[in-house]
Amino acid sequence: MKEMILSEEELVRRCIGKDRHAHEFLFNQFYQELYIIAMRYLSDHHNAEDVVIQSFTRVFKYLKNFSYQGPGSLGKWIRTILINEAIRSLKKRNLIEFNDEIKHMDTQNLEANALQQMQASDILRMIEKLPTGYRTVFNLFAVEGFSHKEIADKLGISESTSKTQLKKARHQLMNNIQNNMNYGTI
Amino acid sequence: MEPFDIDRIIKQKASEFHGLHQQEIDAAKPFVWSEIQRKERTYLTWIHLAAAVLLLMLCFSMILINIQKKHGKEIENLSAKIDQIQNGYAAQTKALNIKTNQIASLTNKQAELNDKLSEQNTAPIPHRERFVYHTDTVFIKQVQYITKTEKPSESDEQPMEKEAFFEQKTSDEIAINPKVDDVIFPSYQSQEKQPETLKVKFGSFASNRN
Repeated sequence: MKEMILSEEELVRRCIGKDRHAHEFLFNQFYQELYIIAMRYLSDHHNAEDVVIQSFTRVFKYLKNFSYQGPGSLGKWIRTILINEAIRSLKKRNLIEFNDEIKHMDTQNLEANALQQMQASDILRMIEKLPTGYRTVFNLFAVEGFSHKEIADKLGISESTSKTQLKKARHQLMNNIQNNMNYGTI
Repeated sequence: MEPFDIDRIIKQKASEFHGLHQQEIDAAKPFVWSEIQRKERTYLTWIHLAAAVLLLMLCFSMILINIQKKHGKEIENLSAKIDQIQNGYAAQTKALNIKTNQIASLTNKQAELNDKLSEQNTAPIPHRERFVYHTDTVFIKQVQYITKTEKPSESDEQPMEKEAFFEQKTSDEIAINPKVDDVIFPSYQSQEKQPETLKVKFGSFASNRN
């Protein structure tokens, strides 16, 4: 493929003009990132592929509606599309289960330094192993930076449920990490 | 460690480059790209198909509307004609009856005229020359004989005299000479019918006057 160095604005303009090379460039630029995010939410390669395909199709279809708001805005817009698609896919497959029941949680004091020293891939693998409800809320809140209100709107749940799910997700994640560190799997 | 710290560290780690699922990601890339392109083409094809179907429907609806309009006009014309025919039916029937009667009477008249004409047209008697024969009429007296048989033994009567017998016969024949016996010559005295005479025409000696 011919090397292209394009600004986001130019890329968007060309993609709107049905430039096939621009489409391919956009795909290559965002494919890996989108696939990883999809895996974080769906924890399944097949579903992740489907969501990535659906997201890029939507991106190319609705790119004319995108308004450029400075560097990074295109990536943010595309990631939002992918997250929405991932949530839609989870809802469609009835994979999200939210358990409001609060159990007694033993808080394990994990040192920040230990977490910092962990490999990103290990942490992400731990996140992928969380139950769907926990994982979704944790990703939306901790990684994407959505508020509980936004999460509640997106998932169709109450804010308190979102908070509970986040708390449980954090607790389970910390326990898993601690256990793995204790058993030396990480 | 505060929850905020956990979130911050995980967010930082998530944004770092890591080789997690790299193999699967690379393996799926061509398939994902081809699927995206196929979906784009499909999308365009669907748009075109939808547009084509819409255009076809528009065309069909236009054609149907035109046909309906034409049919409506034809029906209106036909109903008007039917009304016209129904209105004129009684008058036409009456006129037809009159005409039929006229035809019947005319046929009769024609038949009569034909009869007359046929009568008139019968072959005329051709003009022939008339021959008038003046004939002399000869009266031949048929002598009537009366035979009487006398039986002398039974009756005393005497036979009648010959002259007396003739005188007794007829007055008209008085002029006739009894002695000439059978030939009677015309007397030209009487035109009366004489039934007992035979009229004999002799044409052989008649003269042709015309």
